[in-house]
Amino acid sequence: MLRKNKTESIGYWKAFWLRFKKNKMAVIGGVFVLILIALAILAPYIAPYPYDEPHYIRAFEGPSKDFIFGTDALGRDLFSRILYSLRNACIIGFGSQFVVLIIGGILGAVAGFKGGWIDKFIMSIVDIMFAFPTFLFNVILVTALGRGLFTIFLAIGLTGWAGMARLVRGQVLYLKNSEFVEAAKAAGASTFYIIRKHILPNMIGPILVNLAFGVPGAMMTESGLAVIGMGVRPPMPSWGNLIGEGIGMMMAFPHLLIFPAVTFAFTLISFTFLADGLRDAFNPRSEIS
Amino acid sequence: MNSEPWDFPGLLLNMSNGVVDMRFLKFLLKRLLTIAISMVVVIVITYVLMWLAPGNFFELQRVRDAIARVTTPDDPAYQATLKGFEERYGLNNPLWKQILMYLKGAVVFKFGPSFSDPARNIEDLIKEKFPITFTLALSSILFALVVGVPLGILAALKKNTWIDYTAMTVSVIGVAIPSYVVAVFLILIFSIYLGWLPTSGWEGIRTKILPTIALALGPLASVARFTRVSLLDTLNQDFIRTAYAKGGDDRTVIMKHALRPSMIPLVTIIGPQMAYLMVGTVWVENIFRIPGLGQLFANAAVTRDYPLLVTSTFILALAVMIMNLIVDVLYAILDPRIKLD
Repeated sequence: MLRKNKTESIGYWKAFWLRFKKNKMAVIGGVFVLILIALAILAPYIAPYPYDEPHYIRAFEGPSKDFIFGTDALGRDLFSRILYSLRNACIIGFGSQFVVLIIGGILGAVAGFKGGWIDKFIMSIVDIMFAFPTFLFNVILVTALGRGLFTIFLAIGLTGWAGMARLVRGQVLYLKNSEFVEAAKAAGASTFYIIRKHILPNMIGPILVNLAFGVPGAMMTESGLAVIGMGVRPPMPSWGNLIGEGIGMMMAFPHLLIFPAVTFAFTLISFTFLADGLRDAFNPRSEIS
Repeated sequence: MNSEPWDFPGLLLNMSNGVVDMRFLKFLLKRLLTIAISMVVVIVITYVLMWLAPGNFFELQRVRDAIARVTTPDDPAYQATLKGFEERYGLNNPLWKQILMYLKGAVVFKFGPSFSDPARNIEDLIKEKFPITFTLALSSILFALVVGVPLGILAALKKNTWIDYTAMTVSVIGVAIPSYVVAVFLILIFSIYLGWLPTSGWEGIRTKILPTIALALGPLASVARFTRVSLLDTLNQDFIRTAYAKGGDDRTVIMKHALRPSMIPLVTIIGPQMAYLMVGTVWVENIFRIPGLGQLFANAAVTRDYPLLVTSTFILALAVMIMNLIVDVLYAILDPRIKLD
């Protein structure tokens, strides 16, 4: 029987979805990420106790019915503290990527569109940012700005935009010189129309992938700051704080180390698998079938 | 002896003939200049930030003293101490002069004393701590290569089998988890549960095993992933097909032809990985209580010891940048097709 050779034209997002859903690890990661984000948003309602409420006579308890992850040195509920760590990690993860998107996006776009000395100037800043170990810069910024949630995500955003700027510039240069943009120009489209209709939609994939990797990266940095004592001020919990405190008491009370480490690792892995899947799914060269 | 194209590295050849390639010199000069400019920019930014930051180290000490009821800000003795302190560290100078004086000192590797230890110059501290951090970073990158490369080769040769899938899943996890979390898991398993290795310190070989592995796991995962992709890429090339066509078996083709060219690009990721390692030492040294540069840096940040913070940042960043430069030069020497630009 003759098969009808029907080549269906599928849209950008549909093609993305078909590729994405084939990658089991990414789908599982994505589901967990959604659950984690829901937990982070609902933390104040889910947490059985306030994160800073002490129960002195019940300090250092292991997991029990009252405290499912046990309690810390002040008798604070570890489960509630981990929930708030997740909340803070999400705020900092997404907040910092928003800053990255704004700074990196604008500087990259300006460099790509304008060219000339502006491009050279912006790119040499980017080169310096790339060569310099970002975390050190983060520590200095946090030392100067203070240790609040807002200042920490600002610091991570302010030091993390170089990759985004380079990406956006590259995309702009590539798209600016592509044939379909030239065709649109020849057809009389305005610059604004070209940016809105042709350049932006084509850039969304790579930018989203960059942001998706940036979120767990920022969470890592935030906790890394807390590990060395430069994270959000106590009593506000952060995974890095909990791990740092747990290390000191691990011999006698290993649950104070195990629960934070496992939940943090789980969160990071979920976000990374999702980002990995997004990268493959946005790659137009990967197969759909 | 058979010679392959990569046996004749262009740059090395020129240099071994006593003729130094001008392009090479130009490249080197440009990179060194970039490093110098970056360092100056970083020092200036750091100084400005610290100048803007509320509360200096001395304030912090005063708070501590106040708790101990030793002195109050109105006390003339306090004022005199503050003045002496400012003069000692040149804090009474305008900002630009402080920066200039620091840069002048940095050129000849003299940084003066830190706030927390007025009796010792920072350069002596650095000389004492840097070897510890460098040993840790170097042994970690070696460990990452020695384990990561064979793992990547194995995954490539067993492509799409459970070995490949396991190796690659583990390597995604290795990249996803930071070294301080890896360190926690290693301590939980090997120190607390099994009781084999100590949890902290830096004396004898036994204390060095866990920090090295903790620091190495991330780079190891990257190296394994990269090796796999690179080898698979090489195996698709025409000259490999030719080697098979000439009757070579798997072993000969892979060992003699595929392996070497696929290892050369690996050099490119060692640079970024070294940067990752140097920063990782800040965490790992804090968790394992290793008296290295990373711990020095963290302590300086927490106590707002500005001279020490600037200098330890300077040294760590300089180490990373110089290693990146060495890696780039090495890459150009190994692969003559690469243009130094």
